[in-house]
Amino acid sequence: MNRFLLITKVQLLNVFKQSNKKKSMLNLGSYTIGAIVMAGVGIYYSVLLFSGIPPEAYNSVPFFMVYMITFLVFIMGISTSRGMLFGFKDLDMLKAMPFTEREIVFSKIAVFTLTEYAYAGSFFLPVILIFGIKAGMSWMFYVLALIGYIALPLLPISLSSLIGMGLEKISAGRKHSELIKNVLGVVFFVAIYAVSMYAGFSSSSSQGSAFLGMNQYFEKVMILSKWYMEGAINNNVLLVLASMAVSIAVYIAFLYFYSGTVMKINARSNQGYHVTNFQVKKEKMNSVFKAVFIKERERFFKNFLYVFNTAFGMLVLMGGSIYLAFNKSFMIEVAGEVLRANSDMYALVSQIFILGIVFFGQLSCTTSSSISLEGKSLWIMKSLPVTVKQIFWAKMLVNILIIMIPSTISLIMLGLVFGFGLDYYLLGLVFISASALGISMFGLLVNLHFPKLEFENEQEVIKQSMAAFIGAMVPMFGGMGMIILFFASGASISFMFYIFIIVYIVIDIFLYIILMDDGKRKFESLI
Amino acid sequence: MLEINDLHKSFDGKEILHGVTLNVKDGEIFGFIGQNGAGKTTTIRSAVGILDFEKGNITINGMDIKKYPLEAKRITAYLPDNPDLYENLSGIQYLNFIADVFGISSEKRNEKISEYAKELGIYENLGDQIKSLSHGMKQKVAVVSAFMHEPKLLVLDEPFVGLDPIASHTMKEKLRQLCDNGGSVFFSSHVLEVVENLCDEIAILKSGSVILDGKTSELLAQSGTTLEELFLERAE
Repeated sequence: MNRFLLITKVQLLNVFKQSNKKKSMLNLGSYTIGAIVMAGVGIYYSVLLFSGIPPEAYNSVPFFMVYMITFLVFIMGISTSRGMLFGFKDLDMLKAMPFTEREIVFSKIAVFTLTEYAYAGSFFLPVILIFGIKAGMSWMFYVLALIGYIALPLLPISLSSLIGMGLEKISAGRKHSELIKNVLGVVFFVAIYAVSMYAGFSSSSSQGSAFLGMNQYFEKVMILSKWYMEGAINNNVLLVLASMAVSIAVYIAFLYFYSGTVMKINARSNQGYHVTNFQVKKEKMNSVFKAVFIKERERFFKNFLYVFNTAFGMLVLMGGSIYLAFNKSFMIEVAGEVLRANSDMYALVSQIFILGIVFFGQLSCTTSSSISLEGKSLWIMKSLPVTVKQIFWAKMLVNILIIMIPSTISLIMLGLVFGFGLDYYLLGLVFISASALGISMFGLLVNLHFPKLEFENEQEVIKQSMAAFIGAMVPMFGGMGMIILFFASGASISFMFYIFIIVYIVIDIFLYIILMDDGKRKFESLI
Repeated sequence: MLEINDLHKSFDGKEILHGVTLNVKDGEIFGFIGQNGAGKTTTIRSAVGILDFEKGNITINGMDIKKYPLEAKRITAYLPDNPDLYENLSGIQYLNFIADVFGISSEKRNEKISEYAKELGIYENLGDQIKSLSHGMKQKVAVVSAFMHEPKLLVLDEPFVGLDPIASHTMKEKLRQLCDNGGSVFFSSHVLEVVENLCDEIAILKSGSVILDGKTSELLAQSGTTLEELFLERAE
């Protein structure tokens, strides 16, 4: 077998295979479920979009979806590339084997590219199928759409990897490398989201078909995606080929640029930082719990991927509410006045805000990866005189604070903007606390049931493990269900809000009992 | 100090340890030898409370590791065969974490960390990120963390792997010192020469069962061979 194919095959097997059959099946299962969910989301959104527009506008749906998937591959690729293309730990071993540097590097990119293809394809290919059936497209459409898809993710993969490479190059080998990456990453993402949101807001279309306005904006930025879909729909082979040619050319250029620099960056990245003239200084003594908590906090904040995948939503929420508080528009002031004059509406809107904050908070589940991230270092916690309860609470407290601090700030900011009363703050705090506690316990339990202690890079745990997946999806869909139920409850809408709070508290109690019994046993049996 | 009685341990239904019984007395260095896969690491990890086990019991200074895990762990230090520490922390951050867990005061930890780190030749590197350290250096950080809280029982899995000759010599001295002060050491090793010279008592494990156990001097006198010869004869 060709050496490049051989090394790529081994890298792929490394992603899926674990030390025993059960773990391998679980690992494969998490990837499969991930793909199924992506497909489900793609199908759900296309059906939703088709239902809101007349048949003559059907063509706009595949355009919107192709822009979305290009955008998603680009955004997700920035953090994924960090995990898969840099900081790989098998570098020394591979370099010692009869492979050229280029073969090693290209195999890494191949695995990364295949992963992105799989996820993007799971989302996008069902969309193509639904559109084709709905719009009665000819077989030529399917052929062109499938062939064109081969090149579609290449440009966003190249661009996101270049950004990932830039972040890595700036930060590698520095003492605060993760902080630098976090700050730069957040600034970069906020900028991208702000532009995207601006595109959505600036569209003049009606609410039901707001995506049509976004299409107008994205088609100016994502020209190759536009060529691809336009070519497929209009059976214009040349346009599809043109989009493919440019994408492939960019990707090849990226491959050569990347292969020339990655080894240096990777060597620096793996090297860690060094301190000159070190002296032992007097350190404050901490309690056992505080020491474990600090260790957990450090693990979280010193991991770019971890912060990015779990806390980004909270940062956006907090930033948005602070912005609103200090940039009150005339409309918002009027809305505040109207709300204060109508007590029923006032209570309802305050509850909607609280539900929104709780929903955002539920998307930040750090505990679903926290046990797995102990990885080969698990022996430390298990051999130290620390109780399982202390370990659990330290992990949960990090998660609770990551949810509670930005949520509380958002609660206060929105309260100030709209002039809500004390009841809003009290109910908000109770609901947010119950939700934060519940999410942290849920994540921990999921991680204890689906631990992934064997991994090559932390990306496999934080983004691709079964536990991380369940920890992200269940609270998200649960939150969506709660909001749907809230709005569907008609006259008893306010009553429903209080029911939610009680349900969350009851769930917390149950989760705590399970965690301290079954969870504790699971932790003790981990090896 | 450490008593292991009739220890049975299975993985995925397959029994790995078939009733291991060992007794590490106060002030004694106990060597544990066996081929790869014999069950040494499983025994050691069970002894320090990392692995759960189905049958048998383990006591440290009279305290059952299952009933009183915290109390037993407070007087024990464990050093694994592979020093997988928290890679993102610096050496000193890791040591301070361990010191906090064992409740070592600020003054005492400074004194102990400086003393052990200087003796092992790792002091200047304690500010470096652990992931930047070599295997041997990580091992030294782990050694400092093990000695720092002055344990009564030190359990080590292949402790000399990766250590340079000076650090290795210092380590042997420290082990003997610990035992002279009433502590005990239980360690596994493939370096039979070290085991022969250092250990007061030895046990040979084969396929999950102890096949030989006794005072080193007596066993060698009885067989009239070196430990290597004795091991080869018994382990085959």
